[in-house]
Amino acid sequence: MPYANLVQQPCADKSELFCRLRDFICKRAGTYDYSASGIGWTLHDASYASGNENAPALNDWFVVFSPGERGNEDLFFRFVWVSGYIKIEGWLSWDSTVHTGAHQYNTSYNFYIADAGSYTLWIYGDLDAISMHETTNASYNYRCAFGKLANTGYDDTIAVSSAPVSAGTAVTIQLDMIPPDWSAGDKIYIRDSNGLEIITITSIGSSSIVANVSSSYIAGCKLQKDIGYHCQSSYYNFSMACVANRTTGAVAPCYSINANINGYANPDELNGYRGAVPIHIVAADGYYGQLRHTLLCDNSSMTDGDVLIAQDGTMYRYLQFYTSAYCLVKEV
Amino acid sequence: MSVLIISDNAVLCRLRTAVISGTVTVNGAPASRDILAYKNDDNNIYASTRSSGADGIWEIEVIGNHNDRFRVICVGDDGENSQIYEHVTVA
Repeated sequence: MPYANLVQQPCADKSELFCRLRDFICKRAGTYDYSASGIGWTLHDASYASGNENAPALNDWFVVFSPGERGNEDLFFRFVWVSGYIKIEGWLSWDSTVHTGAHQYNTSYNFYIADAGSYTLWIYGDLDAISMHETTNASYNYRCAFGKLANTGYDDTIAVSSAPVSAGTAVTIQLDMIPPDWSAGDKIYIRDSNGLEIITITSIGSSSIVANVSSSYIAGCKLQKDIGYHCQSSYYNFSMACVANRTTGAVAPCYSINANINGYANPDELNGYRGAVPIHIVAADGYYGQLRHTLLCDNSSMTDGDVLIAQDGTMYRYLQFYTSAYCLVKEV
Repeated sequence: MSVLIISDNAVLCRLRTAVISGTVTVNGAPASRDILAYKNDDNNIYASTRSSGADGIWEIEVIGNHNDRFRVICVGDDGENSQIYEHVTVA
C-alpha cells in the first residue's frame, strides 16, 4: 500500500480532527472523503453515543486495523476521545462483535489535543506505521506514532500453527514454516486472540518445533521471536509502550519508557547538506526497533514546516514538537 | 558532487528550495511593485521582494514542495489595487 500523507490540514474543532483522523487513516468516504488519498487501514469497530459518526463527542471511540504491509500482522489501535487528548491504545486483538480487545499495550494518554480551539493536523503513514502531528492549538506541537517498528532486535518473521496448540510439556507445534533464524534453545512468543507467552524451543524440525507451553492456543496462533508493535505513549521525546515485556512475556504492566534518544547529527554544511539519523528505540530492557518513516535531526537554521530532500530524492517535512525535539517525516 | 558518508543508516538531506515568480505590468508596461508571499495558512510574511522596474519580473525562493500553498500579494501603488493570488504551488 503506498505511503500517504495529509499535510497541514486545518480543523475547526476537535470533532473535525477526530473524523479526519478516522477517515484518512481508513481511506474512506466518511464525514470527509479520503477514499482516493487515504492510507488504507480498516475501520474495525466504533462507538458513538449519538449514533452519528459525523458528530463524535467525549468518550466516543473507533478501532482501526491493519494487517501490515506484509499482510499477516495484527495491528489494532483504538482512538478514544478523552478530555485533553485523543487517546490511542494498541491492542493485539479486538473483537468487534463484543467490542472488546485483548493484550493492550498502551494505556497512557498520548496524543495531546485540547478540548477547545482549532487545530492543524498532519498524518503520515502506510499499513505498518502512522505518525500524527498537531501544530496549532497548544503551546507546543504534539506528535504521536504507532504501528510496527522496523529493524527489530530479533527476527520478526511470523510462523503460523494450522492446528490448535494444547498446554503441556514437550508439545509438538506444526508450523507453516520455520524461520531460518530459529534454533533450539531460542525463546519465541506464541500468541492468539486470548493468550500470549514466551516459550523456549526444545528441538526444531523441518516444519515443527517442540516446546513446553503453559496455555492452550487456537489454530492460527502465531509464533515469532520479535513482535515489534508499539504505540508511542508521549508527546515529547520518544517515550513508548511496546507490546509485551521482552524479558517475561507479560502483557501488563507494559513498559512506558521515557528514554531520551541520543543521536543528534551535526549538520554537514558541505554542499548545504545536513545529517539526519534513524530513531532507534532503546530502553532499559533492550532494543526495540526503529521508527518508520521518521528521522531525528538538528534544528539549526530550520523553520517548522520546512521541506528537505535527501540525496535519493525522498522528501521530508521538518516538524518540531514539544520543547526540544525535532524530526523529519517522509512526505510524498 | 562529493558525497559524505556519515554511516550506513544516516541520511543526508538539504532544504528543498523552489522559485515562485511572475511579471508585473500596469497597462502593459513593466512596473516595480512590492511582492509579498505567505506560506500556507501562516499570516506572517514568509518572504518579500520587489519586481524590477525594467522588465516587471520578480522571483522569490521558497522552501517547500507540491503540498505547500502560497499566497502572493502584488501590492499596488499606495497600497491600493493590490492583486492577490491564492494557492500558488511549486513543483
